Amino acid sequence: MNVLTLIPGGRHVEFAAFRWPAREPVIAGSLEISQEELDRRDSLETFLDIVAGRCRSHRPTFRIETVAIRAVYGGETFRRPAVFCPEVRRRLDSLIPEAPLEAPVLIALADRCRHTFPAASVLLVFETSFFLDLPPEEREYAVPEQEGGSAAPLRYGFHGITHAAACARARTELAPSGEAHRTRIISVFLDDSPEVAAVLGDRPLMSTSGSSPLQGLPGRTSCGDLDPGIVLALAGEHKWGPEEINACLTGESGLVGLAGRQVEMSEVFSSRRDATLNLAREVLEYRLLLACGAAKATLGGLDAIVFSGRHAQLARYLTGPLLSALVRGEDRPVEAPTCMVFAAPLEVLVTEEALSFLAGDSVAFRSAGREEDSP
Amino acid sequence: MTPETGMNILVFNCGSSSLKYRLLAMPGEDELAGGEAQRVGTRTSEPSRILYRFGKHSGVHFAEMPDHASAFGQVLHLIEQHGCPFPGALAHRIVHGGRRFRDHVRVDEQVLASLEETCRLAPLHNPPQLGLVRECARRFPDLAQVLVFDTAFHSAIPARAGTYALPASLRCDLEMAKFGFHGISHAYVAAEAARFLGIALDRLRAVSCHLGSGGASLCAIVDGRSVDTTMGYSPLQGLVMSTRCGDLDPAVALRLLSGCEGDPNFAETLLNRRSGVLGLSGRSSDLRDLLAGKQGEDREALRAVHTIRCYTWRLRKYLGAYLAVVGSPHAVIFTDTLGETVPEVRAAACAGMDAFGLQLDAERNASSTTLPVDVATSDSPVRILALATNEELAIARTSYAIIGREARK
Repeated sequence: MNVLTLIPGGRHVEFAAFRWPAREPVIAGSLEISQEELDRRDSLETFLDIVAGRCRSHRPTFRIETVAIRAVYGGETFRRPAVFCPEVRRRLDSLIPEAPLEAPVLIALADRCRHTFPAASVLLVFETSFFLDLPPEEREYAVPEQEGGSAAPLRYGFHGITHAAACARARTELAPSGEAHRTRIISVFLDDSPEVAAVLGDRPLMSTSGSSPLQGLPGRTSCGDLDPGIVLALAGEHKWGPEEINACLTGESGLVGLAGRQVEMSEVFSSRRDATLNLAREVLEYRLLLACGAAKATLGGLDAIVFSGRHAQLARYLTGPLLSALVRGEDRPVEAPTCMVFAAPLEVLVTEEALSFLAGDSVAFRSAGREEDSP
Repeated sequence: MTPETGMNILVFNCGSSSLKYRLLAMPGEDELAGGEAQRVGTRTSEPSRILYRFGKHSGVHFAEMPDHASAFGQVLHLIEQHGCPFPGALAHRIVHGGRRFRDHVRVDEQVLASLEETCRLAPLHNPPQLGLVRECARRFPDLAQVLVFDTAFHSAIPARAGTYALPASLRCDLEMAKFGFHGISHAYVAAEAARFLGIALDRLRAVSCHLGSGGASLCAIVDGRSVDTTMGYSPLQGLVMSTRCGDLDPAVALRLLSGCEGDPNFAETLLNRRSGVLGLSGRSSDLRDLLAGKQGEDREALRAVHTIRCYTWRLRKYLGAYLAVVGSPHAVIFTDTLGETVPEVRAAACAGMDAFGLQLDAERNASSTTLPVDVATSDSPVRILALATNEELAIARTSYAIIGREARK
């Protein structure tokens, strides 16, 4: 099966073409394309023509049979992947009010994929699907049920594809048969928008992200957890408008805000002699500890911590302090939780999830990824 | 009367429309008088009043109290009328000390000027409190006054816990940092817990759960000092409270602002007064009402059960987070109305927390009515204490110590 996988991001779209089941892509790359350009039909056509052209130039016989698109947000509507069709398009249209940035881009991209690759199935794989089984007490905020006629906000996670695969791998490694459903895992996704999830067996119990990726751990440029009183004070006392506040909290905060300059998460941890990065590192390490402590409370204990995401290798800086803090409170000597790094790239996971769905296989991720021993 | 021979201290706990007071003979800590002026500075259908007590005698005194200064006058009048000795010092609870007041202080002109600057951080509470302090200074310029801050205990919180991931312009210029509240109560119960456990306060490692019928917060305590707390820049962050939302995605707050055309008052009212337990249950802001009405299958009962779960779920998450921060804790402390008097809340908070060393004695927890009490099993590695908080006594102790220290200089 020849598969083209697309991962739209904020400023670019990553693509990878696979001759599945080979997990090494035939060709992979990233094209700069802004959110506005993704919204425009001509830009999308140009982008997809470039991708198709690159595939053909690399392998002239390569014909794309399936396009798998990673979708950040599927709301309550998409519990599983979906083949893009008029009915799915209608359901995506209904998501626009709650995902005004993500849903239109996804619809436009899927539409153009059907046009550019008319013989291919176009599949959407949603990051939020994994989190639809969060317990109600975790999902809901303590705000009135209906406000202004709109639905009350709900909590999701935004890296569900990776969490699900990483935890599946951890369960396979750890649990004797029949015990996998009781394995207590903290899944730490390290990327520009990091996220911690607590997973019992294959069911998520907690996510640090919220109704948007803004809540939770501080990201590269996003603030993470914040007193809502600060948002109110900026609007009330300081007379900032919502757009100005949003720009600051999403684009000028996080590690960049703490460091006072452009910085990557990997640099924050590796440049230990750079005193200007101390605050950013200490804040992120501390928030990770809080998140893991909370996750352990929801799980009632801890069997494994699994790190994933583009910066998963930073686990080598984090594992020691986290384990020392999380295990020393145990009431009796217990086996220390296993720590793993799950290094499967997102494009492989999206492809596997899409093809498992197409094959009618409900057990996705059964063989995805590679993992390494404890860092 | 001097600090050496003892001193009567009149403690004021000034709310936005109330004035609680206690006259305490220090250092013996005997209460000579106490009470609460209600409906101060408000126009309501019922008249302003003072519910007072003198020893075993109690009563109600009706009087016009258009502001806290007049309430102060009425309290003094009552005290004189009942033959109580005139106080040797006045002590005030101040909600917000900002960055300026990292410790409690004796009042002078410079302190008053600095206190003025903190009013923008707590516009509902600090201005009436400042007004009362000024009125006291005007009427009794020679009387010692001490300010005891709710935020001061948390000034020890390290930068890693007290810093929001915001640009420097907001963190430094606009002072957007974690201040924390309920510090007087957390500090008081930490000291009481250390005494109860027979360990030095400066060695105590604990998580203090101040669970009021209104506000609520947790505090992680290491070596007797606050190292983190759930409330933040404002009292809005953290646990689910009676009418406050606690933690919320900033994007949701932004959406609320956008939805009301940027009117912060709408969002402020919604998140401060209509959310929390009230917002979730749709009928009561008091968790005790929901615990009493959770039986049945009707929608109200199901919402009650869900609200209780949301409340205790958030509480357990923070408890786990802070137990990880504290490491090898001596105790978890429950205090204030819900923490002291509702065993179901303590049981739900500690359920399934064996991995942190918490083992609750269910029977002792359910049957204990006299505080302080340890409701952990005898072999629980971490003690679980229910302690009565006493903010006015804490304020009197602190003030007595400050006045005594200055007298010895």
